[in-house]
Amino acid sequence: MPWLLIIFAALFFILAARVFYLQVIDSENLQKKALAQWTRSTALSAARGVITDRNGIELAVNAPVFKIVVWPQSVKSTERERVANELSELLGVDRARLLERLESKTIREYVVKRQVDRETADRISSLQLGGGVGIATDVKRYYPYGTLLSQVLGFTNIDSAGQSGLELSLNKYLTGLDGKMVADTDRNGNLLASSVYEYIDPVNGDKVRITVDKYFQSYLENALEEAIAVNNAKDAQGIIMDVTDGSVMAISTKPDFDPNDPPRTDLELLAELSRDRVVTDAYEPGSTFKILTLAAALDSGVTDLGSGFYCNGGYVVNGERIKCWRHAGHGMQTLTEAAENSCNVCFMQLALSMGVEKFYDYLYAFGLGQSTGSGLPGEGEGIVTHQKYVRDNDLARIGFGQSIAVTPIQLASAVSAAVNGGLLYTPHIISEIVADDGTVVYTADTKPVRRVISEETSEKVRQILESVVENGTGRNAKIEGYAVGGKTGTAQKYDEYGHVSAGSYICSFIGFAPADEPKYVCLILVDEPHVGSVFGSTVAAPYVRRVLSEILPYAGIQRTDRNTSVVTLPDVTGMSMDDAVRTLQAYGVSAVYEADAPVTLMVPAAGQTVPAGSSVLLYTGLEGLNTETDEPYYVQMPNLMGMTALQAYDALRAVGLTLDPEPADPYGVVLSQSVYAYELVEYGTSVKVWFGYPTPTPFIPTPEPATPAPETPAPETPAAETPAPETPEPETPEP
Amino acid sequence: MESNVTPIKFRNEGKKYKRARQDGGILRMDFALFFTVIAICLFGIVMLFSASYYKGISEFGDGYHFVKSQIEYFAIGIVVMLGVSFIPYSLYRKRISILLGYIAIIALLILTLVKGKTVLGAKRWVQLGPINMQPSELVKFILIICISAYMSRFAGKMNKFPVSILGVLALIVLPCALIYLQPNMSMLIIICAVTFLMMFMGGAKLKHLAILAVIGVIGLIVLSLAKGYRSGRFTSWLHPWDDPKGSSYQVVQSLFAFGNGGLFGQGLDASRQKLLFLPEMENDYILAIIAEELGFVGVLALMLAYMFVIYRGIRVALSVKDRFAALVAGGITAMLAVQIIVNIAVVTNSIPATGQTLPFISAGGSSLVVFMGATGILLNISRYTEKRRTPLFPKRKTAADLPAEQSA
Repeated sequence: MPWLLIIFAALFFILAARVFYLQVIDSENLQKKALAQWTRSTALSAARGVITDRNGIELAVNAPVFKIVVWPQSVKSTERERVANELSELLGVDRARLLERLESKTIREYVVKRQVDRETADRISSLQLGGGVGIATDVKRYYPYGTLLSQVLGFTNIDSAGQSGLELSLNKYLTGLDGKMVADTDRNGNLLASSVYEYIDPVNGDKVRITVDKYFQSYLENALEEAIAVNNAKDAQGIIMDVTDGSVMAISTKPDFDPNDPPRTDLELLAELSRDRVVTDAYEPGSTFKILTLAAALDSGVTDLGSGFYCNGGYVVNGERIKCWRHAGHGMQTLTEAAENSCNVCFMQLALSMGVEKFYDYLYAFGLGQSTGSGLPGEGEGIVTHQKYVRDNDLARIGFGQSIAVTPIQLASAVSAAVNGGLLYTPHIISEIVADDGTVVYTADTKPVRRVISEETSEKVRQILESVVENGTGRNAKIEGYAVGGKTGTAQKYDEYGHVSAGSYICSFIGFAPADEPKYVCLILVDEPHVGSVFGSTVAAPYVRRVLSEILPYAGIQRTDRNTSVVTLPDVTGMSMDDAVRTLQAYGVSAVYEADAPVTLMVPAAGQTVPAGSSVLLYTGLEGLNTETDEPYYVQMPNLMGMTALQAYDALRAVGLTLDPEPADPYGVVLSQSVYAYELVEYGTSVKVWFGYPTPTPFIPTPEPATPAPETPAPETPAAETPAPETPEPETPEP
Repeated sequence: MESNVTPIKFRNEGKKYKRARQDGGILRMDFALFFTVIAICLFGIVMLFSASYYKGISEFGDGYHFVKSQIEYFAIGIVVMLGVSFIPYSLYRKRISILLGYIAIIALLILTLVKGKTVLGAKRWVQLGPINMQPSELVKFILIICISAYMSRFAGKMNKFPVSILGVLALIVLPCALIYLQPNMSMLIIICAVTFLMMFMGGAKLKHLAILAVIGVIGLIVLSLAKGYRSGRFTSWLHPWDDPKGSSYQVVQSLFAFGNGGLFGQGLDASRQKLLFLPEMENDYILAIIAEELGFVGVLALMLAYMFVIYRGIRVALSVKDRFAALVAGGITAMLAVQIIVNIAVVTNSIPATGQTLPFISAGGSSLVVFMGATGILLNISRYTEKRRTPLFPKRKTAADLPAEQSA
């Protein structure tokens, strides 16, 4: 038995030696390894910088949200089922997956769900799920006004990193610098009382103030939404700029998205919706561009207010007859009248009389063909054909806004320069960036870039454009109490092959106010409206009018009340068209309508005040075609090749065109037609058709229709440029 | 090596036998043993409080959760220990006691298997009226008494293999089988180890013991490989740093605690590992917390205290004239020693992990009360020891091993 004592003593000695080894010799090594688990380094999230509008209204903020965390080891095994049930129900997570995590022996911490709102977090804490379920603070970017300014603001991912818009382009300013806290914890990560021993403060992100005014933006977006709904349009774009310093007051493309909940699953849709087409997409501006031609022509001295222009419905350049939108012509007109009428012939002549070099100098000076430097993401440059390749017919077309492509923001910026006294400013949306400690990191440069035209020229441009709204095609933008200047535009769209796209128009209106001392310019584009009358004057102008009439009083701009005769519109919806027209006439306003059917909608709406003499758009349930009106309607040219005279006559008649045979007494079959098959041509147009016997070498001077020459086609369809009718009253034919 | 047969009187030794059974009274009790055990228990309560306070707060909302029940059991333990020390050990030797005791443990073990509470895949606990106990804790001591009775009865034939080895094995095979079914491997191994040591004390031939040891080791290896989780324990024992967050978690955390303790420790209540990092910090691994807070010096002091208890236990066994009493005292001491050694070896990752409490210190009523009760038996036997101290290592090793009275 004493041996037993010796054995035990020996074993005790060995164990004591082992303990000595662990505690004294290997101690440091073990301590080092253990240190990592005793402390927890917690990232202290820096608050992402707030984005405010020019008046400090917060447009992008950080919402206090929560994340639900479980520490599986701290959930009692008897409670696992209940925890899994309650959390999966409240948070919408997969119950089986959660239960699996809870039963794990190796997972220390598992984030069940992030960005949980306070209400849900409160409900979870009221369930008393025990120490194994934690609620920690989390961050979420929140946009208090939802879709407002969504393309500009952009959105962030779940970690609050910018994904598009300013959130992306200004990410490095907005992000800030995370701090950290190293603290002692128990195994479950719970902080021990008073054990923090390292603390690095986070540096919050910079605050960004943008030039947009939240109310301007709301007015613009409401107008765009209504423009889409009423006109059954594909989309609509709009921009309001301060002409005195180039700041963007409002900018929007509809439809848009809610950055609080972007459609992350459909990336293609999201990319499409988050594109701010006002700055990214170039389009053929059409008649709105005439403002720039006008300004350039006046400034270069090739014309003046006293000049006269004669329009006979077309103008021959380089042997090609380019039509005015009104085939009958506008006759003799002054410069102001030509602008009021939006006469293409006049503006062709202006462009040609300046010549390529001079005109191009002005175009470049207006900032076309290059990015405006607005700082808005993805800005496009537009398309300006190099002057080496510009022939006179192209130059003539540029004169009235064809054969050139601009982005809406370029146009708004250039028009601002044309009317503000001649100074071009850089459009900008970032007003200033201020660091958390108050240091100003960035301030927008509001100095003018250059003088484009003289003060006097600008004055003349303003007068003319005011007259356009007062008397001409822009009449629908007239606002009682304010002088408004502006210009309509209707442009055809091109398909992906560069062909004119059937029935696709962009109707636009650019207006500024007050006309004598402009402060704001507003451009609205309505893309692919699907209503009977597709013109800038009817589709876009009423919305510019609406936006301006809302922002001008808001901005505190004094009314001039030059036009004292105002009318409060009666409600004519539900009436038959005859009654409605008569009622409106009794009030001193005219009606624009397509179909003779009960009225379902009127623009402007009943109860609004409009200047006497303006017109009201009346919509009916069935928007049929009314060929009696003066508004052009386009039909597709049939293919007549090989038909006999009688067949050709019938084919043309079927679509509403008339036959102009050559020779006058036709024989044989159709050899050639003046309009290509499938092209759009105005309703009622007389189409010249050559007849004869098919021979290998036809003696007809026009090119073979089977091999269309792209550069010099037969007289082009007038559909390409279709400004508003000179008068909004459809009842009144051409004067 | 019959020389190792302890100097114990046989039953039929007449007068001297009677004199040897003389109760020396309470004053003859081994007070050094008594007070050392009480001191270890009190030290244990302090350390348990320190180790378990945080766990008590986080799991039960009460920092005193573990220490409160430990103090209650300690109070019961003192009553049991003193009470048992007044029960003459000869009572246990009676055939009826042995029979009843054996039947009782078999019944308890069967009851555990039938009605026991399954905790972590094993049925070890059973509710007996108000007491929730681990019967196997009791079984190991009752088996010691049964084996002692058997071996003292057949003291003269202990050099025969069937008697010394097979007979003893026959005694333990049924309880061991029932414990195996729970399963409670660590308890099984400890019972086997103690039985082996008792065979040695009882006078079995070394050759026979060697054969048994070889068979036992082979059996152990086969059993270990048979069950995956136990061979997993071998891997994590040999390569604890391969999977410090998984299978080796406990032992790695225990090593961290030792490492953090250093020579003098972090100071009472300054343990980091008790912040839930070390599971079972109030139970099997409490020594790691002691090491962390009191350092190598503290652990060494505790080990010396345990060594002293073992020394006193063996001294009692050597000093008592009755063979049965000597075997019981030796068995209880061996049980104590084996359990201490296994526990320390486990927490220092010196052997594969197996769940054994640290006697007198680990939280847990069954263990504490049973060990204190066993100490009570030791104390009772100590009252029968000779006044004259028997030398630990007698000079002569052969026949002269026997005390002087016999040879006189």
